[in-house]
Amino acid sequence: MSFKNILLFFLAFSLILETTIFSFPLVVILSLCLFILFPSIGVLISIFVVGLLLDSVKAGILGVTPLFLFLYFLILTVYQKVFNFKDSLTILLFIFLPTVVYAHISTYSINIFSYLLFFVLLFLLIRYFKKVFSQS
Amino acid sequence: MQRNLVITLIVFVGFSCVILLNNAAAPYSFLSSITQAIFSIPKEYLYRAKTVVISGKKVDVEKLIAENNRLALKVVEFDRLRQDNIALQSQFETPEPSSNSLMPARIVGFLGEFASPATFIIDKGAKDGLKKDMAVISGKNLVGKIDNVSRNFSQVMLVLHPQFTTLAKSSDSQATGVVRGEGSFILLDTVAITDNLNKDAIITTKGDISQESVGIPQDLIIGKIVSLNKVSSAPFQTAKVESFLSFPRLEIVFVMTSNF
Repeated sequence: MSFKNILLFFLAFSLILETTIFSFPLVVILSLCLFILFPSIGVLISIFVVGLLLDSVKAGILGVTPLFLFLYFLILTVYQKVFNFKDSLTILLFIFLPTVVYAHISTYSINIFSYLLFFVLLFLLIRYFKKVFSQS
Repeated sequence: MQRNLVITLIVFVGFSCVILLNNAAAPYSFLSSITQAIFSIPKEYLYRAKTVVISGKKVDVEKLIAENNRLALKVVEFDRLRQDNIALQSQFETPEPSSNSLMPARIVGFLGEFASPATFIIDKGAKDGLKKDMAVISGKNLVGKIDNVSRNFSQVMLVLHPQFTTLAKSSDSQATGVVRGEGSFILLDTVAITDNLNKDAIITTKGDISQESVGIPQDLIIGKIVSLNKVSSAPFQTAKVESFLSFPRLEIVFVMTSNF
């Protein structure tokens, strides 16, 4: 199983988790990770569908999540040359900022300490998986 | 390559805008209802498992909360009867919500902090006749009001939600003000400085009903005052209010659909 497929699996799983027992924008975080690491049409379609499903299962306004994500992806792509997306810390920063904005808009938990803890874990995970998959 | 990606992203932004602008259109509503029907069972079980885990830790606290709720209800009843007698208007006494105006709904998810959620997601929606701004209660306690309504699910904006506001009064002194959610607690605001507010007084709703008979009826319990903020030079005083409900442990709530 590739790193991309692992992230896609977690993306699908987080759909049910984040609106039921864990009020944290997991779908947004994983979508951003997927886009930055593997920007392909297949990934974009998956993100679009999961975004719509998320809006539906949390009884929100349909289309808000995909619109937020794809507008941000567009900004990232246009300014891609300015930023270095090979560096894990830069990736993390570009995931952290929209996540906090989205959490604020969608009344998720905005406990900054839990976000910092989560992003430290995410940073370690990305580095670990990159190492594992580059070796294999 | 990058140009293709930009074009693809613009197409997806366009799709998202179309869906957003035609939210209530029949095809989207239909697809949304199918999704919600599929997800409703796993969400229900997962949420129940979460509340069981929380409840299991604090059985004694739960008993005390139930007892507290019962006593608060008696205090409110007592105050209301006293006020009615003083005014000699017992014939206008507010009726209890009849059981046929209450629709039970199971909580299937939440948004906000784990200990103090801001929004509940319930398994009832437009197909069950739910409308925006309907009151949601548990016992005689106000839980919140309906915010977003989709076909099978709805969002309940809790009294803790920063955008929640309703008219309220103190059950003992009848001092009126506006109740606002502050995330982890409830604030009773804009109470005239000349009004008498007491610590431990029960705060109830004053009634906030629209012309379509949708809204929050009067005499629902919001909570009790735990601290006061009164500065004699200020025109208004505020009070911190604590709900009798333990929101993370609620599993079933009731939506007041009509009949006030």
